[in-house]
Amino acid sequence: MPSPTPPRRFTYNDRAMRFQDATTKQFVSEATLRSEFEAFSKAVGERISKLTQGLYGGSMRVDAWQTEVADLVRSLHVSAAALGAGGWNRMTPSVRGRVGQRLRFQYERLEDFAKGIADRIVSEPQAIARGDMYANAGYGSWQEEARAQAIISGKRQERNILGAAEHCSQCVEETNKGWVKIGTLVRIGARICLANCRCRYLFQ
Amino acid sequence: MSEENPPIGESIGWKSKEISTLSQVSSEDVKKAKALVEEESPKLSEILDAK
Repeated sequence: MPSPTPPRRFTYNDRAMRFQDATTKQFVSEATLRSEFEAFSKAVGERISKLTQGLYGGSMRVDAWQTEVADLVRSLHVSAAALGAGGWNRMTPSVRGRVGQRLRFQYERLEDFAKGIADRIVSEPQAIARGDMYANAGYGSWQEEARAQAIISGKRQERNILGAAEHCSQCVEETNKGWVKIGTLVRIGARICLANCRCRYLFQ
Repeated sequence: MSEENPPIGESIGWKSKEISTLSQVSSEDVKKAKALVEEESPKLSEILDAK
């Protein structure tokens, strides 16, 4: 019986701000990171959908649903921040504090969302679609933590790179600005396309 | 929305102060997130275990 494949080991290269294979020193591609993170976000979205179906199916109360969705949203944003910061080992109190600020926004919306459900203003299909948006929003935490790390490491400029998605007019506008002072572009996730944004930043 | 099974109960009713407390991220929350990533995405988990 063949022995199981040992897990690959990775390191984080501070200078390049990229993950790399510990043995081959090859950088993990942006495409790989995106693909893995999108798959993870989708899995979180499916968990939220199942909870929502249980809620409308009568097997779960609104407050219990709200608690469980909040836990999933927290884990999603913490994981996203870890990706932006360089891994679990770099989840310092500062990084956790920044995640907390983003979670605060998410929880304020989640309370409104739960109220809408309890008041029967939100239909099941609407609730499932809105649940997907919570899962999509994790991407912004990844990009914003990467931006915070770039500032800490002394980068001075940033530019927007359009993602492989339909682009809102604001993302195109931000891209057309070219290189600007770091921290001045409109935050990913706060543009017209909201949580659907798949742009990224480049830093120098 | 199903008329037969409308959602039961009320929202928790988080106030601003409760949301502030709830949104604080502890090292325990990091462990929970790590467990979720290990379960859902082994490859992403390997990457995030970077030293």
